[in-house]
Amino acid sequence: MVKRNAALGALLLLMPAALGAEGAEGESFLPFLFAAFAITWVAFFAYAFFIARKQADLKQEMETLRAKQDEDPG
Amino acid sequence: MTLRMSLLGLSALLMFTALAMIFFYVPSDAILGISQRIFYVHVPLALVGFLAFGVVAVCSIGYLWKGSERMDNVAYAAAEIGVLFTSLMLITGMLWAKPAWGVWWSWSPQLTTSLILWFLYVAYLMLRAYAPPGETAARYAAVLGIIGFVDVPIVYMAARWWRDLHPQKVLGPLSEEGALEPSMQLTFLVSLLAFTALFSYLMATRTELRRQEIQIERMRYTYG
Repeated sequence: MVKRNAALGALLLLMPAALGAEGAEGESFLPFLFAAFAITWVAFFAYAFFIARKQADLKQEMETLRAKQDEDPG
Repeated sequence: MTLRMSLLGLSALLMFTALAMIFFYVPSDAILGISQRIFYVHVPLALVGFLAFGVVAVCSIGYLWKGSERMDNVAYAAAEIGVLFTSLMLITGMLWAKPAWGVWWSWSPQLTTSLILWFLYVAYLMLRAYAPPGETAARYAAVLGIIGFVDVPIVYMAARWWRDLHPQKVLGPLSEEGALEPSMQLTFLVSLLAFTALFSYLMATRTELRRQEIQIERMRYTYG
């Protein structure tokens, strides 16, 4: 995961250099391009984090409820 | 390795390939410059969003017909992920519109119908969140999920049916031949595949989570 994030960061850092040949007009559009990709990726990572967190909470609650179920099988 | 981990690996691999192609391989558009590269994210997000709402509609029909809880779980997961993709489609669209048109938003037919689509499925999620859990809420949501999908072909055809600022289709059956350069077509297809793989991974994970949520809800009712 850390390696993948580092690779993604490196790709984003290299982005202005890769697009350097676009000239001054290209540079003025760069923040929009950067924002589009950054927002998309932050949203997907946030959603994945939300799902993982919810899964962990549910697992814990399920263990508690199973313990109750074992105490009171009737 | 489970199916979900395979899907995650595949989507990561395809995403890196797509990002590398977008920034290092494909040339910039002659008129729109580098901001056109947003196209490789914006359009796949829109198409995968449509796919998600298609899944909601099909599974909602399945739920109303067979009463299968599994169908309802898949529809719920697809609606949530579809709203995520459509929200990002609207945001990336605005980030493309500002440099291209000089405004963040225009009430053009395609943008307006897209916003209506987003509202319809946000309403679906609100219905699921606030209605008491059970079959009644699932049935109402299924009806909304089917009605909402009617807007998808309208969004797709809006730029053709009405005068619209939004660009015409450059890919698919409605496009003119040669509207997109071969390297741009290839980059677009890789990006579309990447987002479809990510959608499949998120669907598998969210559907399983939904199943667990319902299981816990029942256990809470009995032992809580």
